[in-house]
Amino acid sequence: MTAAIVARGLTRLFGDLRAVDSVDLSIAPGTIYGFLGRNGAGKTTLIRMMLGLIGPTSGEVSLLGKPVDSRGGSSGPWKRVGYLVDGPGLYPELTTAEHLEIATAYRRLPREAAPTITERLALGAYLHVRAGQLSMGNRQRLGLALALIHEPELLILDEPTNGMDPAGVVEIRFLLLELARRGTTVFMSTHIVTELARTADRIGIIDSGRLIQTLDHRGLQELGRPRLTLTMGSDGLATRATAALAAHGYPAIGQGTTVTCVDRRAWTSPETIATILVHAQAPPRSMAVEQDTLEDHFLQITGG
Amino acid sequence: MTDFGIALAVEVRKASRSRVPAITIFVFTVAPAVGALFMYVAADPNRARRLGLLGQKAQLSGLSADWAGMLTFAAQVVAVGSLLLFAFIATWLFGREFVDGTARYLMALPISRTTIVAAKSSLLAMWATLLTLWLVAVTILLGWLMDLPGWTTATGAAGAIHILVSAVLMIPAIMPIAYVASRTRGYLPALATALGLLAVAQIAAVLGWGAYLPWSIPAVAAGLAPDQHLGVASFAATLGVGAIGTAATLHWWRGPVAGL
Repeated sequence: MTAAIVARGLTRLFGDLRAVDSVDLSIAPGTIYGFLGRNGAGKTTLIRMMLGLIGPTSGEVSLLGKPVDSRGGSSGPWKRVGYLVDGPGLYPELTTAEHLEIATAYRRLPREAAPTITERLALGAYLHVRAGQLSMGNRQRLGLALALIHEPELLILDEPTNGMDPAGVVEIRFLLLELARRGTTVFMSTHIVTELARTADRIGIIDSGRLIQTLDHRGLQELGRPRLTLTMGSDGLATRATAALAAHGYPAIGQGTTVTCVDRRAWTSPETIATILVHAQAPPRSMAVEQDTLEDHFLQITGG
Repeated sequence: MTDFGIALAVEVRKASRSRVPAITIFVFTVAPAVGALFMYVAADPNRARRLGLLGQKAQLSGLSADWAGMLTFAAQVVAVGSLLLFAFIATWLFGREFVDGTARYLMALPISRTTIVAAKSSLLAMWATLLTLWLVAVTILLGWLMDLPGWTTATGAAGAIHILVSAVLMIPAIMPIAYVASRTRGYLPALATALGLLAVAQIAAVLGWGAYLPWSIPAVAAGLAPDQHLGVASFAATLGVGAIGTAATLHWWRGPVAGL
């Protein structure tokens, strides 16, 4: 099956700045790929290159099997791609309905397309409101409606929930999950890490223009695994504790005065561990069951 | 409908919902109205004296209070004013897509960027032509209401043709402004360029080079520099600047940083 997005060695320089540096990507159809990075990490530049809004300095990208040409053109993959990048680009004097009519015309869609997407994104109450008078959340909703009106096979979204209230964020999450269930590929960047963790099948982390890690389902589950963390009084006690735990069949890792045990039995019955350590004359100062979130992991690997 | 037809219809719709057409109509309504006022003042020397400064201005304009004077005034308005007004329209048509952040939406549609630039350029040409026709109509209506002397079909036709030719020659000369608005992603540099070109055009006309500079050629066509005459070089210069401006605009829209 052809990958929905393929990028090879995608690089973009702005003067001496490497905004995107040799990014390789292959995103399977029907999946949600989350894209995470700090401000200025290169997320938006990468998305702009994917959409042909700017040309790469080197490398290439193709969407749905068609190469992206930064000169635009009717022969590209654009009939099958929906996008929302850098916020919704709306004409302040046009109403919601007029924006949808224009999108319908540009994409040669049947008349029913506008009412369908209006209902789907709950825009009915704002049909005759000018875009300039919409709240930020509703502007974002309209931007999403324009991205979705033609039921694209591939959806590329840059911060899709920007400006939305918590209920709106949840609503969009369910919408994206539903789209992916129906076979739409979603590529989205967001700064809401928890949202991404709930939605994405795979997550790419970009830092200083480089794609430094890709986490699949298994990687995400690993992140969520709890562990028992023991703080000892000294390095010597930590070494003794590590040995005692190993002798009782609990693999543990000592680092300085900290001992970490990821064994399920350890964090489900920490009192057993405490007993072993007291008997080994290595009582811990404190014990805690900890669990890494995607946010912790992101901050850790991007040096936050 | 063709892609071009769709793009043009969308451009017309976007323009019709904004205030810009009303502003341009207002400008090209007020201008002949001022001409009519001058005619009214200049028609009676006593009235001109009574009105003080306004009377002096009307007399300094050197216009006769008849149809020939009225049509010459309208031609002057188009020869000079059209550079600024058409530049204002071009700046808005092209620059607004970057100011409103809508350019990036247009650039990844299943309609080519060439088609979108062609639709915008066509709307600019249509808009400028219709505005000029409006100005001619308002001028004739006001002259008729004032019962100006000296009307003949030949005078009226010659005046109207001068005005229309002047306007049509300005349209290609405006395309570099469309490029500046696109390249600088906004309004101010393009409008500043238009002001600069207006100054250069005035100087060129005074120096006797008006027939060779695309932005002063409309004034020569309007008969404002009777000692200068248009030739093949004049039309070639106008078309050349129009072609270069269009090609540069298109090149920018299709370029590798247009959607930055």
